[in-house]
Amino acid sequence: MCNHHNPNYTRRDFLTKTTLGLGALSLSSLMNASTLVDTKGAPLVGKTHFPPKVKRVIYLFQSGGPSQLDLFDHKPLLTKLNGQELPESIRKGQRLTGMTAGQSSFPLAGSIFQFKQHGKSGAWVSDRMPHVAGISDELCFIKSMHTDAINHDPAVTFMQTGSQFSGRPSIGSWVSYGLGSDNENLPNFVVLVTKNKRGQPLYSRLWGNGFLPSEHQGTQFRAGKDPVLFLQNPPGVTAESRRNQLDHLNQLQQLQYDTLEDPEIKARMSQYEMAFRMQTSVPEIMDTEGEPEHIYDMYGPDSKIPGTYAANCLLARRLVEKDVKFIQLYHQGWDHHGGLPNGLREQCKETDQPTAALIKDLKQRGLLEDTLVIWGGEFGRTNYSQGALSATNYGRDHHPKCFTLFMAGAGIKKGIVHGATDEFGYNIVENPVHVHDFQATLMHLMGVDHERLTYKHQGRRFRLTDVSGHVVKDILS
Amino acid sequence: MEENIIVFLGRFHPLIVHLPIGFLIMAALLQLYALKIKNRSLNLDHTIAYTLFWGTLASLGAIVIGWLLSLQGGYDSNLLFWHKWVGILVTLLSLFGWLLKTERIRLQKSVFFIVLFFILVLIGVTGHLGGSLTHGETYLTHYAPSFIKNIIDGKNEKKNIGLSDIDTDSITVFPHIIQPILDSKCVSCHSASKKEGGLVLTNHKGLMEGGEHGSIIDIKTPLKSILINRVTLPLSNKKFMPPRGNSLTFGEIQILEWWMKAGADSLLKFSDSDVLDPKMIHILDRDYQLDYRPKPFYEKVKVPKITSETLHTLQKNNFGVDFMGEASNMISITFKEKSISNEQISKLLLAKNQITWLNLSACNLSDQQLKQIANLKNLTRLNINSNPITDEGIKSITPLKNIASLNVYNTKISNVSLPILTKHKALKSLYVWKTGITTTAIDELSKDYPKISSISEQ
Repeated sequence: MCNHHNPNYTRRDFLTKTTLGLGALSLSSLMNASTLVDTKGAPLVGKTHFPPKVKRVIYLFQSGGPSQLDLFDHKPLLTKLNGQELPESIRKGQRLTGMTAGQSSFPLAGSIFQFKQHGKSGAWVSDRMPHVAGISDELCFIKSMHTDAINHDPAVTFMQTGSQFSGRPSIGSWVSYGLGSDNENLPNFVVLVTKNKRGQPLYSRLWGNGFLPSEHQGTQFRAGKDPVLFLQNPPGVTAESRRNQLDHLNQLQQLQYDTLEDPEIKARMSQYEMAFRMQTSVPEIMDTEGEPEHIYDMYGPDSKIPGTYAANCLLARRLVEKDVKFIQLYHQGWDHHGGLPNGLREQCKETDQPTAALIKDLKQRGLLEDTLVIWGGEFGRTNYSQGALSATNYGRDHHPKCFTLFMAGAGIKKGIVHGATDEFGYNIVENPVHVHDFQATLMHLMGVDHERLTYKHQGRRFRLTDVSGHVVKDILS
Repeated sequence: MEENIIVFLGRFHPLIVHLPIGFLIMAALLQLYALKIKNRSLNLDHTIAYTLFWGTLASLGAIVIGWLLSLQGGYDSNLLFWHKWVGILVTLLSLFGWLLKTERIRLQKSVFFIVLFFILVLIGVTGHLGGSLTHGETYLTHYAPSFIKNIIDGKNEKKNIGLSDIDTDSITVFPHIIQPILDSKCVSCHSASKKEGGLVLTNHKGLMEGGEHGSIIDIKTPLKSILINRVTLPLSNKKFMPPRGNSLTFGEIQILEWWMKAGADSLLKFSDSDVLDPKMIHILDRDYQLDYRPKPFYEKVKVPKITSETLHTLQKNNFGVDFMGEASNMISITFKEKSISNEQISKLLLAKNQITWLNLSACNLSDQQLKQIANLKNLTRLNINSNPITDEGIKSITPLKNIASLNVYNTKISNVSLPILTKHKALKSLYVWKTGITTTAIDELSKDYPKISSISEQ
């Protein structure tokens, strides 16, 4: 039995290179061999393809699929035709989920919330989001987002990794891999999940590194005594003895690496070191007691309760100040198949003020100059009611054909609305933006050509945007 | 001096490597001679075997020493891979040749000739690769006549230069955009030979002269011109142009209209005038992939790239360095410590022309140190928030003419600084939250200088 192999340089690599290359060898070196036999796509640390206008990202992920029709995509026609059947000319036989496919009637449901235009841009925002409405001149709304998936898990996975199947690296992992770290004391990719929310489950693979080296996976910071699980020394172990232990462990790891050359050993070593530094840096970040009262007021009453969306927004700002590259928040509970009005009221109460406060807080500190904030879910919701439609209550099913997402910050135009849906809020009629287009744009803003940041795995070069994606140039400033 | 026996020995590789080359070529020459003289009394087989034997040994030596050299690193890994393995292949082949010649292995005689032939070819290949490793891949062809270069680059195939190959500043509207539109949609009828309606659209002169119905362009009101009129009629109209083939696209019509309005000059360039409106910029980007968006400062200024020593020095002093993309040599710098020393500040001057974004927030930066920053003349974004900076410090950075964004939030500056700050002609964003600057002063500033947006408490 021979278990020894060299993962950095496999037999497959050798054979591929010698058999494919030998014939064309003599000319290949003259004619720029690197295009012929490329090695693994190398990270770009410090040397991006485009100017890195965005240096940090805060992605406020609204898990479950917020209803664009009740928040941003104002459709008076639905109110006018409330209760009437969704015309087949609009639906065009599009597939529905199993939850409403069997419904005998598809009554159009106008929003019960009041819409108004806000700011110089005249963006429509419903009365559920007064704080966000107040900063609409900072925002870039994309009303023409569309996705391929119709159910939560594939849709969230698609949004996060560019593939509906699990196992690919998350956006934050790509960013960490491609651009490296600006702060050696904190992880590059931090995940914050609102505590005690119910709804569609979230899995850690959504912020997983996939096939990228494992130091690029998202690190979840939790509310409470142990923000990062198993980070603190057990009682009785001092920092010195931990340091001593790690030094010796490192020597052993190095020996093992010298024999096996497995890159995962290096990843493990760097993570042990990171964990050691985080023992001091994480408590510093999580301790928000030094924040002045007026900042708490800005983020709202929840901001003093650890684990809430508001507290996480505040933490996100603190992480951005420390140059953490990618911060991903998750807030569950937007999946309103029934009881939408009340459900939405609750969700908006939790998120509206902190979202706006975060953007304002970043702005007053000048951080919006090179930070991008993204707000959005995995898909939209239908214009017809799931279940019975009454004067005060309705529900909406999943709708992948259009949804709204907004961004604020570096590199994009302020106070604009990009794309539009038809009067029924069902199909996109102007400037559609696919999930891969959104991801390509995000990478572009960070200075990365999404087609060129690749990683070779199992014989194929992978990238975040798979095989498609166009940068949405119209929203770039 | 540092000692490194491995590198020392390794550097003999270029010397040693000529021994096997000589021996192996000699073996081939002897074989050639043996074939030519056909003198039975003179048997060269032993001599050839002997030469091959030493060729094998010498190439083995060259491989070992070359391997030592490669341990030092710094070589192109792809080239090194091929150089190493082809070298090893040569050694194995010459060993094989020796085994054949000494009849330790008995095979057909022709096998030996094939082996010898491959040895010669592969010596050439690995020798060339070795040369490329040491001197760089373009060393050999750098001074080659252009026809050889063309063959290597394959450039002779690209006779049609696409628009993307031309610098956007050099694109002339008529020959590069308008004439190709006319060529593809109009000249099949309106050429010198066919001349329908008395109109020739193969050149600028013909377009300006018009046809039987007079001028077809109208500089004052382009939409009333015959040209625009005929291509925008309803498709069913008899007079619609072109009667066959593809109609003009929206973008093409827009460009024609815009060009007429701009004077219909044959030499007009998109970059000449300020008349490119957002709509035209969008159309040129969408239909022609031409980027006429206003260029940011860091793409307009040409500076040399910083040296790798400078980059190292900056990184060693805890500055994070980012390049502003592939099209620019400008850099963006972020300081990573909590306190900055005079020595560290002075290191920034190594890249004084290249630094365009500088982030020195919360690092105990003093007024005195800020004076040094005034030397970074291409700075467009300066972040010095949360530092003990006073109005004195702000005074010292007045030479920075290109500053567009200045972040002085959480510093000790006061209203005194505002008149000084307005001297920065390019200034657009000013972050003054948590300073001594009052709200009334900010209001006045935005009245007098509407271009500057001052950002305070939100």
